[in-house]
Amino acid sequence: MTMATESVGAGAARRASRERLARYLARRFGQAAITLIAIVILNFVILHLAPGDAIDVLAGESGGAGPEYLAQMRKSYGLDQPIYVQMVQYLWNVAQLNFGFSFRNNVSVLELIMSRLPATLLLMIASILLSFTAGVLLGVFAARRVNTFADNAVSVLALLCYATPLFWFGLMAIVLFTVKLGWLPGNGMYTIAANFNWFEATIDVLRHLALPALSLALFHMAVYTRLMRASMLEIYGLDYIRTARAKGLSQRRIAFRHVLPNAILPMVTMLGLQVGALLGGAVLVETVFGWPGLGRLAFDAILQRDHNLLIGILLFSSALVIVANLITDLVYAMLDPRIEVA
Amino acid sequence: MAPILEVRNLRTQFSGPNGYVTVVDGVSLTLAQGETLAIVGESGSGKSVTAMSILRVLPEPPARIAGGEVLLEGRDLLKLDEEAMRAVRGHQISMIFQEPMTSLNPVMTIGDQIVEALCEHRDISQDDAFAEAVALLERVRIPDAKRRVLEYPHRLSGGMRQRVMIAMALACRPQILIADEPTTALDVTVQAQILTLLAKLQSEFGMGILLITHNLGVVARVAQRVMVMYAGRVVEEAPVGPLFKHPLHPYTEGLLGATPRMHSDAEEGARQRLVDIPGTVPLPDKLPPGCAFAPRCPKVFDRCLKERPELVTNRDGRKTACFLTQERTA
Repeated sequence: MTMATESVGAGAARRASRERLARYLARRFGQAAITLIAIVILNFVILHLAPGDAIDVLAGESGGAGPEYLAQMRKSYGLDQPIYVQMVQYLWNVAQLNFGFSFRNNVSVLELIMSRLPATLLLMIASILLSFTAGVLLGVFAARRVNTFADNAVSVLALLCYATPLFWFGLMAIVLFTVKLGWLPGNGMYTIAANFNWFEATIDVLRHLALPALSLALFHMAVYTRLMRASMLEIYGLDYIRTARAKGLSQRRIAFRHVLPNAILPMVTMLGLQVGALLGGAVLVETVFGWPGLGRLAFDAILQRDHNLLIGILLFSSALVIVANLITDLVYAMLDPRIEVA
Repeated sequence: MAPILEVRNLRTQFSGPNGYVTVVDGVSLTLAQGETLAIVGESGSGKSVTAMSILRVLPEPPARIAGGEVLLEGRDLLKLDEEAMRAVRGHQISMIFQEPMTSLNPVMTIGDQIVEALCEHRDISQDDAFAEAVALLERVRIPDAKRRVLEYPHRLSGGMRQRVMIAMALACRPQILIADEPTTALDVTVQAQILTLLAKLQSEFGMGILLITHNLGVVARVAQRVMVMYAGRVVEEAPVGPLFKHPLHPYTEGLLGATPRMHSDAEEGARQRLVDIPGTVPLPDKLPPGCAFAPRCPKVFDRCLKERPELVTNRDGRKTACFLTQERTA
């Protein structure tokens, strides 16, 4: 490799590395697409293994109906077809970005998901930023004061955050900050029927965001704190930190210039994993705080046996996780010069 | 020549499960400008700990320097606060290490790592420091330095990385370079290149080199004086020539006997066999009461088991810590 880059010029080397990157991306997107199709099929099959369909629920809610009526309903919605026909039909539709119609909500699934997606993305991004930043800062803080009172205090705090159930913390936060103190709103995403300009509206959303984002962030903040502390301590023992000390650098510079950039690498891996876990947590948080996102939509879809909607949400969530993992890999390759995209 | 570095009675300890254990016990040495002093000994003899104590880069705790003086031009480094000590590290005294593969930060370009050393100790702009880094890489004979300066350490071979380490260590023209087994992890041909480079740079910069090694071949090549350490103490000190020709301490004799040689003396006729020293270096918390080498010494007698020999200067100016040689010469 060294020989090769020496013989060709720097410009050619850069061009070659750009081509390598493009090939790498194409391959990763191909893998992602296959994964996505597999997920759709799997979800479809699992959902149809459960007894009952949307017609059963509809009939039950409207106080019962004759078997002829049910059969006619099924026929009109295409639910009388064999399951594999329904699946192929569904896959074909998905390929055209047609996720079907939510009969319960009387709108198309895509429209429904798109109306809820921004709220969930906002919640997720806020809680990722919060947990990552706080985790890194606390981890660095603890590692630089290892085995002192401050270090132990951070560890205890992290353990508490790790062990506290998300929904319980959410409810307690509402009790304290909304009911008792009245500082922050505890329900919804914005104040209804308020006449705000854009600035006031932004502040209003941020105030609504604070408690749910914090609840969702707490668990992962604890994970990041512990991981960052351990990672920092491991790096502190390595040879190149001794080199940095022998150069006469200050403790502060060693911590932030030499230890931190190396210690943060495993955290990025964790970040990719967190995205998947966050979607699960979002169901609870969105329910507790009445946050109009995908999580609550999924919850309702399960209760109402809205298969189309549920599969649509699962598909979107999977796509989100896959994209997040792809981004993680790329960020990792950017941060660590040893990883050369092949 | 007046020494620039003088270490007196250095004692370094590590905390263990049963209290502190003395790992370096009463080591004294001097180093003059342009001189190379080699410290040799087996693993665990305290050579590296001595070197790191001089620069005070041992992690404290578990380590602590329990006593002695490290005088750099008369100033005791052990009395300096951390801030003043930082100004010495990498500026007046630099250090290179055994493992060039792991001694450089993998996520920083080599240029940045050299620039960092320059900017820490000298009032220099980033651009000037960068130009200086390229010049330094050229001085340590790294080909295509202009491009290499932008690369990350994983792109370089072990020998090249050790050259980078040397460039970094010499960035601020230190008076003393401590080289802790600088060639041990390298191929034999690369070892020779690095040693030649060090010798050449020493004649250019005039720094004193404290070379730590267990390779006697390296010692013979570059050092003027040798200090032999065993179990945390100096057992023999002598100029290179006399030491190799006529080792006084049985341990030095053993070390030389365990070194393979190309030209064995002709009168011995048959091929010379390598002789090993039986046993291993005792752990610092399990030292025997008398001479630490006594259990492995072929010439041991009863006094060795009861009393510890001090390092004394013999009539011919050489120093040994052995009753045999002291009785012979006294």
